Amino acid sequence: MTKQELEIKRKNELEKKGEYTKAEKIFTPDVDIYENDEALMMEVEMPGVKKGSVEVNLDNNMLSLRGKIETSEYTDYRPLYGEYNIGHYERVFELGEKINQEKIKANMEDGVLYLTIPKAEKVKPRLIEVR
Amino acid sequence: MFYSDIFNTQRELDRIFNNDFWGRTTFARGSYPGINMFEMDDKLVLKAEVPGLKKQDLQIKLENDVISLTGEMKNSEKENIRYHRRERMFGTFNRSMKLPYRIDPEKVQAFLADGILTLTLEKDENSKTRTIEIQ
Repeated sequence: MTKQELEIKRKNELEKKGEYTKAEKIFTPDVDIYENDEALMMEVEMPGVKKGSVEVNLDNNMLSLRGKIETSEYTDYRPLYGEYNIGHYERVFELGEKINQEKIKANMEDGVLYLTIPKAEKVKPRLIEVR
Repeated sequence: MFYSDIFNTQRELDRIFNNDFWGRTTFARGSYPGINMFEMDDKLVLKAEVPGLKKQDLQIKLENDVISLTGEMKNSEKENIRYHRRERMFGTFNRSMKLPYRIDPEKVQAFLADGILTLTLEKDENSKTRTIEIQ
């Protein structure tokens, strides 16, 4: 199988209900979402976001993901040429099932947020034995 | 201050994107990864967003004033899963970019962290600006 050649994608700016007072850009991160029998898993691309700058918040079944980028190093830079814009990341998902927030596992690695959201017991498919 | 910093960089970037001049001179638009170029003192700083890329899957080459990034964004092996959304992109890439001047190959620094590649390059001594005296 031939490997796919990567192409640059345009970032999507977050559509906000209200505008923020600060003149910052916020993008919606690209995600892969998949599940197995045990859990729902997410991979969220947040390049430039360090481990401590991610916020995962579950309110009822609304899962919000926020990542703040570090901009201090840009202070001394004089931009010459640009192909992508920079900003923070924000995206909210509505989960189908109510999940215990404490059970969510989050790991940040190489600018990707990995989330494991265990399913509630009742959602797991049960193998019913036929006697 | 933190927020005025991002504001200034943002404004500068917006100016670059909204200027047709840059659009016309970009010869590799569409190639991955996208590159931002900055200048700091005597140094040239290149940045590229490569979330999930591992050090061993990236090769950086410098030939005269052309820098090239070759590699592969790999997806982790997964078994017995069902996808809901697939927005991340995986595959190979080969990107070359002409730099504004010749670079000293001994002074190239590459740093990959948090999904951002940062290259710090220095001008080659021979191509530095010299004041020429009129005889």
